[in-house]
Formats: sequence, C-alpha cells, structure tokens
Amino acid sequence: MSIQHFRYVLDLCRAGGGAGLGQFPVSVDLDPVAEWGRFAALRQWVDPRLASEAEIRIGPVWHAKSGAPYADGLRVTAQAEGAPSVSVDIPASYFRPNALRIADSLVAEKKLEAGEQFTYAVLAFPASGAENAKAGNPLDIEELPVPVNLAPGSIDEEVERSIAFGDLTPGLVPIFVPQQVIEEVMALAERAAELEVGAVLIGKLHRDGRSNEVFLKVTAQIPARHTLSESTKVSFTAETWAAAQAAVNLRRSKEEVLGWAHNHPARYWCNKECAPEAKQRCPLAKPFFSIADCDFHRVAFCKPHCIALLLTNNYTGMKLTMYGWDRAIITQRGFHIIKADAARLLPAVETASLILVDHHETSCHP
Amino acid sequence: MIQPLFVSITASDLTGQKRVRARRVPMASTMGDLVQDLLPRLQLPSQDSGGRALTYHARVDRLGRHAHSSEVVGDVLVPNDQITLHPNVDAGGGR
Repeated sequence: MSIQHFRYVLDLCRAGGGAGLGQFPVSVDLDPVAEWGRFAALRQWVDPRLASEAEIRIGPVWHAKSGAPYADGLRVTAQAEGAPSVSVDIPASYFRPNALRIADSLVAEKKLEAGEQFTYAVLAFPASGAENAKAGNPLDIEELPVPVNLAPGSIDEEVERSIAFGDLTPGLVPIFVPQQVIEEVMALAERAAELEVGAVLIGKLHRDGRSNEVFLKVTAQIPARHTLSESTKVSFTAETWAAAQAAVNLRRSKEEVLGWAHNHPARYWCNKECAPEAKQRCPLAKPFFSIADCDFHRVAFCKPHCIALLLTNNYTGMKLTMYGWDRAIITQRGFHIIKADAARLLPAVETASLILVDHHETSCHP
Repeated sequence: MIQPLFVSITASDLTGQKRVRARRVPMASTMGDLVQDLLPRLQLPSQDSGGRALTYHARVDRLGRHAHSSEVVGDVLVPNDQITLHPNVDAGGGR
C-alpha cells in the first residue's frame, strides 16, 4: 500500500517561457510506483517473503536546481529489517498523462489553443493529516503479504533456444514466450477477422540459478471466453476471468496469470476506397497501445512483471508487439521467442506507439 | 439464535498477487458496498483514466459464482470466505 505523504500540483506554462496557465492539483495513481519498488526489492533481495512484507515509501525527488517544492520525479524505497533498502527513481514523465488531461481541459475552456505547446513543472507538498485520513477505509482491512512464487530456471538455457524479438531494454526482466503461443494468438486474431478478441497468458516467474536474476516464462495462452467483441473493442467480463482461472486450475501446473493478448484488426478499420499506397501509410495500421489498452493493463495487470501482447492485422500483414512495465510506466518492450521450429516464419519487428489522451507517445501510464 | 452482525473474509485481485483480510464486514451491507471498500486496499482503480466508473464483481470461491452487487453480505458470505474481484474491462483500438 502506498501512503500519500505528499500531494502533487502541476504548474503549466505556454511553451518558450510564455505566460503561466495556472497550478492544478492532480490525483496521482501511485500504486504502480509502489509495485515497482516492491519488485525492485524482490530482484535485489531474491527473497519473495521479505519483498512482500517490505515497507514502501514514495516521495518526490527534489529538482537539482530549483529545489523544493519543485520535483524532478518520484523516488520509491523498499525497506525491510535485515536487508539493505532499495530505491528506484521514477521520471517526472510519470505526470505527463495528468498534464495532457489538464491541457485538454484548457483547450476545451479556450485558454489554450489546440495543438499549442506547453510545459509543466511538478510541485510536491507534504500532505496534511486530513488528506491522509481521507484515504482511510471504514472497514478493518489488513493487507496480507503474498510472496511471489519463483520457480528454478536458467536464463542461459532459455536464451540458447530462443531468438530475441524487438529491442531488449537493459535492466528489464527477461521474458520468454514459446513460438507455439505466438502462433496460437496469431491464429486467434486471424480467425476473428474484423473483430477484436483476447487471450490470457499464463506461466511462471523463475529465478536464474547462476545470477539470481528473475525472469518470466509464458507457458500457454487461454483464449478469453465470455467476452464481448466488436471491431474496435473487446470487453473482458467477470466470467472471462473466472473461466481463465478455472482453466489454470485444471492444468495443475502451478501456473499464474501473467498477462493478456488481444488484436487490433486495423485493416478492417480503413476506408475500403483508399488507394493501396494510402493504406500502406495509414496511421491506424501502425501498432499502438490505446488509452483503453493502458487502462486495461493497469486494472488487470498492475504487477511489474505482467505483459501484454498485441497483434495488429494491417495491409502489410500481422504485426506483433509486446508491452510491459518499466519504472511504473507502460512501454513497448522486446522479449525472447522460444523457437521450436526455425523453418516457421515469425512476424516482423515493429515499433509501436502508445496513446495518451489522443497524443501518441512511446510510453504511458493510465 | 443470535445472528452475528459482522463477518471476516479474505479478498484477492484476479491474479491472486494482492490479498487482504477484511474483518467486521457488516452482514447488512451489500456486496457492492463491500467491493467498493476493498478496491483501494487491493490497489484497484475505481475509475478508468477518463473518469468512467469501472465495474468489479466478487466471485465467492465457496459458491463458485459471482455475487450480485445488490445481494446482502449476510445472505452470501460465511466466516472466512474467500472472494476474488473480477473487473469488467474494455481494451481495444477504439479509444
């Protein structure tokens, strides 16, 4: 549980040292930050029980030049008795979605031109006792630590039988997905034609016996049942999750739900009358993780190791992209495909964008 | 026979990675009220980024079904029940 020791305010100005647009209090979702801190502790301590019980503190990193109350980002610190504290800095861009939403409101109020550039500064102030009390809960609720299950494994062995897919960001947990799983979710997307469909990815977190590094290995995909599919939307219902968990239980392999997959049938979104060259250039054909996708990932898969696969079916074929958490922010990431058959073709690597409040970004948090 | 006024249960998110024990849950409250109280402690957002309310359903493991939000806790839960919160959530290229 992250405790709000600070309240945050964004100070917006027109670009180029222009006039101030005002200061705006923001409600910041700090849970992904707390989760990132706990996961950093797990990777460093390699003690799931200790990491699950760690005390998590979140505060501002004061701006090097301007000093308090100006913040240059957030710092999350995990502390536990008998272990060195672990700190991770979260960039100030964590506040960018809040800034974009405020800017959209200012545009609607005609205080800012549509498309006009602006800058924002993050300010942090100690939260009063009343504000902390407001976050309280009427029920007597105790959080129960849930230590992560770490299965034994070897990164070297997995790498040896895999190929890298996309940019492998140093510092992120290595992820391995069997080619069979990739082919199955691609087949789901192809069969769905103009509809969006989904799947739940299951597998295990492992600890490398040599380096103690944590890595993730997907073992299977479970097609999402009881969903509502449209051309631009797929809804996972409560029954979807219950059915997926029932399938996991039936497998009796101690797997966990690690992520999800869905498709964007972009070729069906385009105007049929468009010239072939226009279809090739269509921005909708480029893979993108939408605002709804970011919200979905935050709601269902807030743990730092959780991942999302996206299949984008456009006029140049099926594109495969993966998204995950990096310092509490959702971003595109690379992974390893455990390749059983070198003769079978894999989709091409594609750079995607993430959409925040109608602005294309390279990363987002909801 | 005296009916208890409260019940203690445990609740988890869909991944099972976040879990809480809720003591003194009023038997007379609704499952919808209980879910709303549990969301912040399970670090689950009650709204999406656009401010739209998200819907969660409590699945009662013992019963093998989701409870309706208007059902009364005392009619559904018994001491030490385990519930799992499952969201109705949309993904896709439309937004």
